[in-house]
Amino acid sequence: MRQFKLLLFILAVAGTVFTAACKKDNLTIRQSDVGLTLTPPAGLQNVRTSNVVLVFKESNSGVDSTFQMNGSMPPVIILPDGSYEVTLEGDVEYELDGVKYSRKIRGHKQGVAVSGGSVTLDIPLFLYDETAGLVFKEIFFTGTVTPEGKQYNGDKYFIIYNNSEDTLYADGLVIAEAAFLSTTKRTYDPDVMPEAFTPGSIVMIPGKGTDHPIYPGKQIVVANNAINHKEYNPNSFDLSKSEFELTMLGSINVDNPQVPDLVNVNGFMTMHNRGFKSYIMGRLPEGTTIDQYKETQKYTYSYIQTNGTPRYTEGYKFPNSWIIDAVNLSVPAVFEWILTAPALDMGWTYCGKVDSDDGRYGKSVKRAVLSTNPDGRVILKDTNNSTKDFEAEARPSLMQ
Amino acid sequence: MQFRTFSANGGRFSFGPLPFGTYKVSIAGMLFKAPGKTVHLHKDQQVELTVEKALQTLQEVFITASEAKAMTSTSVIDRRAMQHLQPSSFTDLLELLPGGRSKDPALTTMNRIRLREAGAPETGYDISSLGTAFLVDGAPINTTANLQSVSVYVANDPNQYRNTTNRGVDMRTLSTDDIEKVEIVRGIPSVEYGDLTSGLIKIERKKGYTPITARMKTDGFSKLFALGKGFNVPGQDMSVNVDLGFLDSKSKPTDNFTNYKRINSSVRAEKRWENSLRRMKWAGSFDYATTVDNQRTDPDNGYAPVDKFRSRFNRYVFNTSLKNEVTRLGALVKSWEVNTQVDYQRDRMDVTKWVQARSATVLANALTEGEHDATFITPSYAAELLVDGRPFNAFLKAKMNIGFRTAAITHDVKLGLETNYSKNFGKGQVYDLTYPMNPTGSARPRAFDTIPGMLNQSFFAEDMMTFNVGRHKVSTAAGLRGMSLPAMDGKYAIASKIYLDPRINMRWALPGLPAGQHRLQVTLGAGFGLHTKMPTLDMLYPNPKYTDIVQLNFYHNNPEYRKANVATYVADGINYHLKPAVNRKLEFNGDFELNGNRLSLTYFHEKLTSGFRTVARFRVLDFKVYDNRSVDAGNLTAPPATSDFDYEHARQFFSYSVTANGSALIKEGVEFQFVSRRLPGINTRFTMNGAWFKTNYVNSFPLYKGISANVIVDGKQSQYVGVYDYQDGAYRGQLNTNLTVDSYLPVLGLTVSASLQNIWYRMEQYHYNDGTPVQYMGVDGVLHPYTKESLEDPNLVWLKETTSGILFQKRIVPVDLQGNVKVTKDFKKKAAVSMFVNRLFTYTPDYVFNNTINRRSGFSSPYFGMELNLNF
Repeated sequence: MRQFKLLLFILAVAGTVFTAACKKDNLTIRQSDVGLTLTPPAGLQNVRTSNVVLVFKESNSGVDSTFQMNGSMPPVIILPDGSYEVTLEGDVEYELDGVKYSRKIRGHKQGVAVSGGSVTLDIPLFLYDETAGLVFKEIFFTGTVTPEGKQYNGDKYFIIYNNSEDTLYADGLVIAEAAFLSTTKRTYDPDVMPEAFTPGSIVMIPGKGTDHPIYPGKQIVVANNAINHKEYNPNSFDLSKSEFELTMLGSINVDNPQVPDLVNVNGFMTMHNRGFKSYIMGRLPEGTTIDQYKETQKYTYSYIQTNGTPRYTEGYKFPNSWIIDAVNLSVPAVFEWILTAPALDMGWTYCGKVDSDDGRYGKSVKRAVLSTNPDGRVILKDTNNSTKDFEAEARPSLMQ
Repeated sequence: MQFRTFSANGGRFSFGPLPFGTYKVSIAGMLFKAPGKTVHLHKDQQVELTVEKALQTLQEVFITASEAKAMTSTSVIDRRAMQHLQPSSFTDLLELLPGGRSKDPALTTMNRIRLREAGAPETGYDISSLGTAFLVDGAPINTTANLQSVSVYVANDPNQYRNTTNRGVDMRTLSTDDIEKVEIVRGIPSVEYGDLTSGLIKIERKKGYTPITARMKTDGFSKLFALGKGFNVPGQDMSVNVDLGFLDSKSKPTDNFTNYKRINSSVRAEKRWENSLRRMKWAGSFDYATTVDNQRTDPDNGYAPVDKFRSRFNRYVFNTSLKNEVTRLGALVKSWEVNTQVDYQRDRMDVTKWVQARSATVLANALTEGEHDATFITPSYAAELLVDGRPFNAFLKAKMNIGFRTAAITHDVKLGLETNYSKNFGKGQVYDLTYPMNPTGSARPRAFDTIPGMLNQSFFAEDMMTFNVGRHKVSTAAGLRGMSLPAMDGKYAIASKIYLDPRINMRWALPGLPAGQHRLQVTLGAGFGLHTKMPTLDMLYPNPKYTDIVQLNFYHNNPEYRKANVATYVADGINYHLKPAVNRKLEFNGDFELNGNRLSLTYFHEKLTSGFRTVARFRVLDFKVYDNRSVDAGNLTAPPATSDFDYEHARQFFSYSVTANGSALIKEGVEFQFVSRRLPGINTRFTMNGAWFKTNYVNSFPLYKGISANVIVDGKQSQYVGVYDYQDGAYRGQLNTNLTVDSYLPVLGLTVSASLQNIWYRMEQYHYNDGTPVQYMGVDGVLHPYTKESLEDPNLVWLKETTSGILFQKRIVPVDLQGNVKVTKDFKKKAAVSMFVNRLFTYTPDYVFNNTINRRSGFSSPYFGMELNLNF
């Protein structure tokens, strides 16, 4: 009995201590009102949105808060303070040049700070089309390692897939690698990202227009070096049957005579093997030559280095309206920003979870399958969000 | 009855014949005292008196560098200062110079000297260290024949930060434990010393009797052991000194993959003869030193079991000298001296690397110019590379001093000759051409022994004139040195020319001005001189430059049918117009002394416009581009021949580098040092030294730059070269002061010092340019003016570099302060324990440049260590 009393006493004392401890911390969660303005895409008339769903994802906790919009009236949004990523999806009806369209609409904003009682938020909306034509089906950018643990590079590749119902042509298709790094966010001046991508190396598939058809549901492989890499690295694979190969820098170029080469528009593409750079696919407008492109799209951008000195770089723009598909790549531990306008790709995918991750070699990013038609044609998922559309750290499809 | 005599150097004295009897022997001297000794003399007898330093010499105890009372600005660092500083290598002594600052040892990279400079640009200004001469016991450390380099031969050169070729003396190889005294001539050295531009380091090593001294130092980076002993050979006026040292260090306390070892040993003998007419001294020494750099690759970054780098230097030095001093009064020839040295090095760099073809790669390894069919490299292999260097240097110097008077002027004339011969007998880069370490770098092996030796012949003549005007004393040393390379091939502009260095230094000692109860001693000085440094063997006989252009790359799926063809071009890379680097120095000095407090000031201006730098030479090369599609790859039945392919002609720019006199280094500054007398009682001395430096680094040549590799014109790279006439370079400046407070307490055997080292500001400002080329050249080889139209051209516009005002704005980095403490405790002269802490505290405030905060605080951790010295 005494012992029981003692126990009660101890519990009571402990309770006091705990309550006292609790009282010290103010655990009330601060909340803020979020006011919302949605800006419809420019140039559209009589825009009517419906079935709009907003998802606020808190970056630190990963908690999603979903809100449904009632017609075009913004919902009442009260959120715990934090840093949010906002995604928005819905239907839209609009008129363009007198024609009425029904499409899907989206919005995206990163790093939204909600704090201080009330916040107003402006989300620009953009259209998207799930049935785009050519897409990146797979990007193998990491290369392989030899049994001795050395890097091997020549076996990197892209796979381009016809996701449409029509025969499309690879002739004149441009592939470009970003000049910026997704692991280093900088304030570039001027900031052209809303209207154009800033490529580093640019390559183009040769052809007169209809030389290289890609049939619906079919793909082409663009290899760095279209050779049987098993001769050089038993851990690699045979790319000698690729449809195209890159022309690399003189000293590391290998030319398989039976595989046509891509045309280098700017620089030589040596794909970033840690995956810090994004890729886009697009076309120059009808009738635009490479020289004309270079003449009209050259620009100089700069950023301020950490020591205060600006750094200037010469580069090109590749307008967003010319882009067919885009894939942002980064590394989870060091991701800082995406290198395309969110309308092109609002997410990103990866191989390797930390910088220089040895586990990344021999892995690729592969687009997920949306559905298979009754005729067997596979439709790949293309929602312009690589986070959702791609399988990260996948086994390369060409690896036997 | 009293007999007197004077001791010779080293404290030896002789009375000659004395009558038998009992004598009391005592000494009288300024610096030493000894208790008297009673001697009963009845045969020839040797008497030893143990002396100790007289107490009044306390004022002579310096633990910092002292400014020598010499004809030009010179810092002197003696044994005691070194002991208190606790150096790991010679590098650490430079902290004591005006403008110096304590730095953590970096023993796994080359340690280069930069006298009187505010900045440290990475490339193009190696003349700073190459042009500083190091003399050990009168003979130079000659680095002319050093060719030990693997750059180009290995991708990611593991030797990059250790490469000493064309960079002069690597100070980490110099141990300080056998050094008695160092003189660092910052100003204008006597014409007796040449083949230098920046300065002169004179190292004098320990001679004569010493007890066994042992030193053990340890800090976070290294362990050091040193042993030394000086013997007197009984019955003869001869001494032998032996020194041994060992240093083991690593790049970071936590990194075992990169380390450096140094072993040095030295035996030195000196014998003296003396009679009433002359005093002769013979000295001979043998030195052996070896250093080993080891680097294994971190398993995370390479194939650990195979990849390694090891660079070993073995240096053998024989030195002998004979000096004769004429003591007869009135002799015209006061002394003559001959000094010779032969040194030989066996240097080996061994690199092993697992080479993995990053893709199928064409193997270009033809040794001759022309078109060659080629193969593809083996997919992976362990490549081995040896760089075998055997530099040999011979040195001979003969000098005569003549003294006479004309009217009131005392002349002290120095005449002499100096010969240096340098040759490398090594096998050079040795490796299997089929298994190159860097398959994509266009390098070929070269045997060093095919390079001719270099003979460097000089003469010098100097007259030191001293005269008194009233109580003023004026000294002037005016001299001329001539230097030439007589054995050079006539194609070189430098061949058989004599390069003259006139130099003059003056000192004017004013009579003491009364100031209170003391007199203010003022000495004013000025100097002017030219200093010439000859290029090295590597600059005069560079590696031939190979350019390999893949013309055909037919990588058929069937290995039998593969075909590759390479055009190889060879340029000799020789710049026949290369001249020596010449530095023009001007300086003014003032020296003020009052009651043992001394202030020394030096203003200097040095102008060197012909420093060595590697510059790019562009040339247009023609080659063929074979068309793989001209052969029906799908239906081959036999390997195709190169002639089966159609081709197009192509041409583009290729660059290679040559050495030219393109670096200008203009140094200006004020050096100051104030030394107080030791305050009585606590024996504390205040030393404040420092310097204001402003250095202008400029590439004095027009710049040729190839167009960005990104620009592809009709599928071809490198179709344009831009010519820029702006001055590529920067001003760098700094003002620093080091305040050292030291107490020497002989009674407690304690030396304590605290030093406050402050860089008040550092400045950097790049020379303005608007980035626009003045001309451009296409592959037709014709220069065109770069105009507004060029800016419209989609390709030529890439030659324009974007700049803005902010790039050329002066950046001032504010205060960088650190405090260091050192303590030495003596135990009855038998043992001493020292310890030091550098950066005990620091103050480095953040600063703003272009609205950007540069954060500097919180990045520094102290560097500390301790050592034990024993005397037996």
